[in-house]
Amino acid sequence: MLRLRGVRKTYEEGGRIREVLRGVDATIHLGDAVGILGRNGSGKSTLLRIMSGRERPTAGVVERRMSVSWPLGYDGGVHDALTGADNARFLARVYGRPPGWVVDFVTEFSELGHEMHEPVRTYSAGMKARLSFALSLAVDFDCYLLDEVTSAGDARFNAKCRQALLARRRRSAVILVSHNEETVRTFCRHAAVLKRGRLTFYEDMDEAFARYAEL
Amino acid sequence: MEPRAPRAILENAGFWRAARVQMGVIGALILREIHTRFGRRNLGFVWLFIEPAILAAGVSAIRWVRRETLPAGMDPVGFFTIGYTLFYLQRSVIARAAHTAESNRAILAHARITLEDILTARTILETGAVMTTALIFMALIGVFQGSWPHSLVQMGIGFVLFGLLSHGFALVVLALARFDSDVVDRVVHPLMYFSIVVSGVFFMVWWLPKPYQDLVLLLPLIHLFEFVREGQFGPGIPYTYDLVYVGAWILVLNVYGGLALRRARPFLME
Repeated sequence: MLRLRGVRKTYEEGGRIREVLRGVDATIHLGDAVGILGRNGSGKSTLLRIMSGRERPTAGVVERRMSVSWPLGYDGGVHDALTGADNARFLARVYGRPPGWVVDFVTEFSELGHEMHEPVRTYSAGMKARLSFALSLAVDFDCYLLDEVTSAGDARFNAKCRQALLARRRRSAVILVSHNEETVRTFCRHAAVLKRGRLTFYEDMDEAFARYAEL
Repeated sequence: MEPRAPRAILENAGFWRAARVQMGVIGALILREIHTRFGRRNLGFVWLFIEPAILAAGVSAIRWVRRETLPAGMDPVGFFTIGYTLFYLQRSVIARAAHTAESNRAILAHARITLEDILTARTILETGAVMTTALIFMALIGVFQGSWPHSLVQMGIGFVLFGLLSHGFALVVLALARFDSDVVDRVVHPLMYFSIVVSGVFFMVWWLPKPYQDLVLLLPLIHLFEFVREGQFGPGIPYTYDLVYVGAWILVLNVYGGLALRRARPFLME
């Protein structure tokens, strides 16, 4: 279970205080698949970073009773100067998984082949997304945070990601932030709208899209 | 004044599990640092030897040409190489602290990896690397010049204390970087180069006139240079140091730096 209670986040920019999140409440259980809709700059990425534990809220409580991935997206938490394989070994050690096994799994799943032994800085955005998604599957989290992840890869790899997430549907939760209706519909069963720093959940996905369209 | 940030409740917190996770993260960071800094194929490690060797060779050559020797018959090559490796340790730990958050932005996406972990891994790696360098230099000096160090244990303790002292400075520098890491970086670099003059790389405290002795002894690093040199050259030479004074500096810097970095964290992680 991942629970947020009254989460606020403010940033200070040149003496001015900017409120990004103004009291977000959410409870995510294993097996949930939630899409979070929001316009650019609505604080979606900030919310994911707080859920992942990378950033702490200014006020409020984050209760994390399951392992939560890093936000998977364009800058997927991989080190540019290292090769794909070295990144795999690095994260295997960080998350306490057998390095050799992680390298094999990632090589296989990401289909990067001999590119695994090239520095990540030579990768395209799509290759980077494939590497980072494969790494997160190898670590095997309870909850996956996806930040527009699908727009980076190609269609075939996206289908593979979806399959992988569906396969662990009952033992993993997925939280996806996006401004793309199509993406949310393919990955999620519930949707929420992030608007003016507050998150509203909708049981019915169509209603969420209707609210989102009004923004 | 920002409101107090509550702490996130982590998955299965428990002391031994947390300790194991911590060790795993720091171990991973040390290996990562070895790869990025010394490289798998290039000769990064060799630079650790070349810099002190060039300096020692240059200074020793000047002294040899001018027919100068060091007081008390100390071997100039040993004096300058070991002195410079100590300076090298301080520089590599402190000078890279200011940009820690920027240059590790990508891996800081992982909540398990903290700024403190990155600094700790760097201090451990640099201290180990510099101690290895010093050992190899001393073996070479022993073989070619016949002068072996008096107490390797004392030198080792000196290097470790020097690493801890530099770590405290690095914590403070990184905490200050919350205001403007570029400005901090530009101030720290000249200070590092200035510190080579006032640190003990080129002199012993007893060579100086008395009033200057008291002045340089305010700097904690001077004490460690003297302590390491006692381990290197043994009795018969006046050494001036106060380990309690150094210990106080290490304690205050690390505690204050640790607290300051906690407060600076939200600004550095943005």
